[in-house]
Amino acid sequence: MNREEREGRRDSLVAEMLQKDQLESSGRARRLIASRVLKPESDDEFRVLVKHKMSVTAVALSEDDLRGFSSSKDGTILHWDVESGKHEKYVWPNEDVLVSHFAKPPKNSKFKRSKNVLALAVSSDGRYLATGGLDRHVHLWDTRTREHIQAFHGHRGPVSCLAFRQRTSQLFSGSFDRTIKLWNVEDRTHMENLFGHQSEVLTIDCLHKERLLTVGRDRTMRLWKVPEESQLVFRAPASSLECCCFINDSEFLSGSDDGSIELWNLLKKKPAHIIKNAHSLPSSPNEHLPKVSNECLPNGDHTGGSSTSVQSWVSSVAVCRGSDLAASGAANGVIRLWAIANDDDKFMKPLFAYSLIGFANSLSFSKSGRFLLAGVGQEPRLGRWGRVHGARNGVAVHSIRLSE
Amino acid sequence: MSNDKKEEIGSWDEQLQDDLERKLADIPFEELQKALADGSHDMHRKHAGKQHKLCRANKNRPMEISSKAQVGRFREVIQAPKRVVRDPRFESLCGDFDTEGYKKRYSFLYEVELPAEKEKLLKLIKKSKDPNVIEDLKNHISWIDKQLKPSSHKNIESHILSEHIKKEKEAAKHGKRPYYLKKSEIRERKLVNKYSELKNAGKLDSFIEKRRRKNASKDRRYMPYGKQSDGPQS
Repeated sequence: MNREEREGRRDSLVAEMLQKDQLESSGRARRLIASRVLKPESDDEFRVLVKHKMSVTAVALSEDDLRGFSSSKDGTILHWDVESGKHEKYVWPNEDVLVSHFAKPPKNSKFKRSKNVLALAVSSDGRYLATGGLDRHVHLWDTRTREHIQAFHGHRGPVSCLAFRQRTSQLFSGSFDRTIKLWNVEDRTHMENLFGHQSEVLTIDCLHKERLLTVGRDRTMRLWKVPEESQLVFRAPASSLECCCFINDSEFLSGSDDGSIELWNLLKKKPAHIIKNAHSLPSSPNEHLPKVSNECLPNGDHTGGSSTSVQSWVSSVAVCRGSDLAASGAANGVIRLWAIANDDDKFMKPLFAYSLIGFANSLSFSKSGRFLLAGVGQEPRLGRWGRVHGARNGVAVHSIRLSE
Repeated sequence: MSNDKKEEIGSWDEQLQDDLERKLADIPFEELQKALADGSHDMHRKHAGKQHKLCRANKNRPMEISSKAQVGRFREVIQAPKRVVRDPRFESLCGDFDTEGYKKRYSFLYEVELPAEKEKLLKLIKKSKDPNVIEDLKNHISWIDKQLKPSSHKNIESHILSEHIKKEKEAAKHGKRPYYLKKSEIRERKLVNKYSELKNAGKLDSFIEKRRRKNASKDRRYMPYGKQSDGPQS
């Protein structure tokens, strides 16, 4: 009898898991958080959790929302506790140790290896941290001992984006040499190359399926089906797409450098919805920073400001996993929260705007949707096209009030 | 039969694998690790069936392409239309060259323009002193002369033919049946014309003499060899 009971319980658990997987993958089991978000109070603001000397380029959260990782342009890699803000540094080993970990020395011996880190990714089990930057290598670190494990070389241009496939040890890296490489972190091997982008790959995202989402400066967003060796090409009307994000397996979000945010569907080659001027600057220089308001014209156009300067480029976009809450960040002083609608007529509604001075180079939601992390810098992530002097370089956290 | 072949291929693969394993066993582990982690190798992969990827359900779906085709550094930034080179001489759509029409339409060049240009050049030659310039002008004049000279043999033949046709048309009006001029007859008439021309110019004798010499030298090859001229006697 006992055995039968156990078997029965196990079968029902398996059935539950399968059903949950199926619902999540089809997008039907979306947690409805956006409707529960409350208006921020006057004392709710972005507080700096961790300080960095130079602009922060990437921010990542571990699966359990307790630990965060951040990197900056001078090569500092820190991990910190989200509650207390206590941080610990990852020390770069010297050049000989790096070469013994299979790194290639710089071609011209006069130059030192660049430590500028452009991208960061944490594996789902929290054991491995991968960083990539201007030295064209993907560096693998152990999170428990904060030591450098191995350096993967092979990219011919700076590594601009990294993503781990959820719950596996596969790492995807995209670079300015227009290729995407697949590495296995457990076996420390290089698995595959993916070709197709015609210009630099800027951002990469991956969920649990072997499907990759990348955007590049060639105005396309590509969904890569890794085992089938094919890619789907989505074209945007903007001049360059800066960031992208999976909402679920068939809906995507991207931000471009003309200040617009696009919502995509797997079945359409053009965006399902475009929100123009999402991060526009005020048109007259006399106005100080735009008021934190959520007014918009009925066609989705926000304010009458201009969206042509570097401060309007939507540098990062993030979605709370498995839910309908999204955030976008640029340098116009505001981080906008969006609600992604399930029904077709209202695609994306703006919710609230949190004020933040500086370039929001990286955004990350917690799994529960309770707080939002932003990697802030005085300069944009990939270059120095502009500078916001009043910004504090570091990781800022904003708590999100949810109604019950 | 195919099953046996498959078994054969399978055992061959296993043999290859064993060979590879034996070779790899001698390499130290660190080197193997280094080779596996090297991301700069070109991966040679077998491509599974690609034909189904070209079609999509409707034109609004995203395009699906292979992710294994390497992309070069240059991409098409502007769609500039390719300039198609169409030479009317070789284009079948342009039809054949209309000689008569050309002569009718462009006769002004040969009658008015080129002679006028020749006059101008002669005047310039008289005026100028630079030898290079004079040489260029002389070349130009000789070129004009070549254009004006109606010396092609096809022209002569077509001229004879057109004359004959005119005569026949006249005769046909009076009831005579038109007669088609054979090629041999055209050649005869050409020769007759040439003779009459040369006679007028006084060069007939020298022309006939040269012709005779040429024919003689050519006929010499048909003569038998000297010593064998006796025949089948000895």
